[in-house]
Amino acid sequence: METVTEQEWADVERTLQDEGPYSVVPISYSIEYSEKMDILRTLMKNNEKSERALKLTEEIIAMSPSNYVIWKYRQEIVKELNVDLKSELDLFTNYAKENPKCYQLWHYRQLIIEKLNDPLNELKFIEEMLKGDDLKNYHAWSYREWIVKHFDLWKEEFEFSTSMVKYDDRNNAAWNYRFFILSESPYHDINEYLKDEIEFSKQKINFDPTNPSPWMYLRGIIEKSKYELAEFADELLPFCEFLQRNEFYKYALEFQLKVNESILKTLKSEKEQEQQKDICRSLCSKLEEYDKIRRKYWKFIRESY
Amino acid sequence: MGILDLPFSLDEISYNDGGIQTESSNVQIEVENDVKPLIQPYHIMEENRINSDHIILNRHAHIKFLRVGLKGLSSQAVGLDASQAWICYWIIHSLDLLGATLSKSEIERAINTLSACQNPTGGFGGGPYQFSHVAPTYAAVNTLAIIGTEEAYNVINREKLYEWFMSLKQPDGSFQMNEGGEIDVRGCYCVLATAKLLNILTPELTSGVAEFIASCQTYEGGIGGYPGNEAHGGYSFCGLAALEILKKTDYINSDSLMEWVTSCQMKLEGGFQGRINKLVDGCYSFWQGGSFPLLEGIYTKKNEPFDTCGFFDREALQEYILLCCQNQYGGLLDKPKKSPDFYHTCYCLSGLSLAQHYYIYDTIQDDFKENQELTTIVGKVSNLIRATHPVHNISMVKVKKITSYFSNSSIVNVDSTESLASSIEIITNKDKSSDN
Repeated sequence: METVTEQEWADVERTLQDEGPYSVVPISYSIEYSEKMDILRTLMKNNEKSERALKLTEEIIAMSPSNYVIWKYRQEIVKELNVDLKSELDLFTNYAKENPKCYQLWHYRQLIIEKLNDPLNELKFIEEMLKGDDLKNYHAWSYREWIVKHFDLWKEEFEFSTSMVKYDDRNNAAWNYRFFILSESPYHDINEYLKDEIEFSKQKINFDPTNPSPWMYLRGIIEKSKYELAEFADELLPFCEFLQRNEFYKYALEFQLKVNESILKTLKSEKEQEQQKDICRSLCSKLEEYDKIRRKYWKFIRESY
Repeated sequence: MGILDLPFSLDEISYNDGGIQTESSNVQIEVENDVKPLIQPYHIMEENRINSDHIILNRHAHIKFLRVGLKGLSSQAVGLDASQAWICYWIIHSLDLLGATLSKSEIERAINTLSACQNPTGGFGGGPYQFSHVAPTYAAVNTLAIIGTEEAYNVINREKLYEWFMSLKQPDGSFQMNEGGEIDVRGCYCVLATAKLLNILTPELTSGVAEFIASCQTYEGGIGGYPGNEAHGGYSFCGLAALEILKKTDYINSDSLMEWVTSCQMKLEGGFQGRINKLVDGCYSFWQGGSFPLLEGIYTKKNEPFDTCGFFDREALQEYILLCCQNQYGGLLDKPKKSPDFYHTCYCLSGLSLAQHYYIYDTIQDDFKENQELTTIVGKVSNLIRATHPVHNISMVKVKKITSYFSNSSIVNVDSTESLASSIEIITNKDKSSDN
């Protein structure tokens, strides 16, 4: 079967991947792939940066997108030939949709955008990737963080995080992003947002007390602010208790424990401390019962006071 | 104790979406429905319960699956063209854990292939004719360490490799995965673990790494790939293990990491999720499970007493791996209904090893060792596999062998860096005294 036109590559010698018969894990490449790679190795050796080399790299990427070698070579050709970077970006948009977890595709995108020094429609693209494929795609979220930070696009991102949390409030990646915005953005003061964020988290917890994401966020955001958890005890402990009027929730118990630990740190007298430790210990005992898979951990915490 | 002996019905410990369906809750319920029938027959509340002694690791089937892969892969594997060094590691490490001895020819062929992946820079590419990349370099050196012969060790060019590692170093302490490549916590672990085995861990190489890793710890307690990124099992292990190599675990909050990693063990499945509100996956048996010996080591060093049985449910994890992640024709997998592959085989078995063996930190030897009295085996006694090293994820004996082989080699070329060598000596002595 002839898959690469003889004529086009007649002048190029083939560099075989000569591992010999004496190897392990050899891949039985398709004839098409081996032939293209045999040519590519020669081109790379000769440092050929041409239109045909550019085309060949795309064909190989289509077959093996995580081959980082090809990406690097393509990058060099694109630079040498002054290829339009926007069209280069468009070309790989579909590949990204087909291979959403490929490190190389995301990194290549980042390099192009960095060169262009223009975020273009990348925020829209990422949103499409998240909603179209996987709401929690790690690459997509970290790429978004990079774009936002690099191009100073913080302003509308808080609203974006709200819309993503509402889309699926069990999407922990969206909560993490919300935290990232409030803690890193120069336009958002975490202390000013704190009151609203406590409300927002409580609302989400009320909606589903078994969802760990808002519980962790609530704690994280308070601890990141200038306040201590203990300062919100009057509001948050009754909230946890009311929530559990009919049944215990492990995340509520854990949250109560954290608030009580924070209170413990503020107490001076030994007697008060001892009483507070008893509260912590009894919460741990409950957790040993209601968070069975972690019972060894909770026992350790109980014994550590 | 495990899930099987819990006196609660499986429905009682199942996930409850509270009547609110989202994408996350729907897929979670789907997975639990796949898992339940696999564990139900062995559950304590089942009337004609099958005794857990009948839970068997299909050792021979797995060895066969791995050996076939070692011989060669089909054209479908073309997507792994840049991961050949990894495939070598996944297969050869798995075989080693299972107690299978490589034949003389397998050893020679593996050394041939890995030598072909090596570049004049000293680093290894993902395959022959591929330029060097940190991840396959880690995989290749680990594989050569597992092979463990002098010939295998001699493939490695320590001086060149050291120079190449240094060329990837960033001002913030982190490392690029390759020249112009991405930066994340994986790079830190791969470089430091390799450097540790080869005795090329200099102050220049390690400077700033601990600070970078610490900046990746999130409000949840786990570690993300890059500052600001979500806490993730793979990066948490890489970060923690790298800090362990640096003897700088105090740079992160180990209490909150412990709290987070314990919360990632699934209450019904027994295996681990990689991130909060995500699904169980067999590979996190190692990536999450691997943090426990390291964290327990930290508590030992801090002299904080804890139960000798450790912090996670070791039986529950073994139950998940043995009942839900084995393919009857060989190979292990992510979760029920998925196909086996070499990556999941490697990390399911590595997780199984960590759950079976109990490690303690030996402050005199400054390394982990096994406490065999606390070995826990779910199912048949013959399910026991070899103990993997909690930092390097190669068997304990192989780590000892390679580190002692290179312990007398100078760290870098002496004539170029005489002053460096003496400063290293000072640092090493300092480390020792601070541990006493």
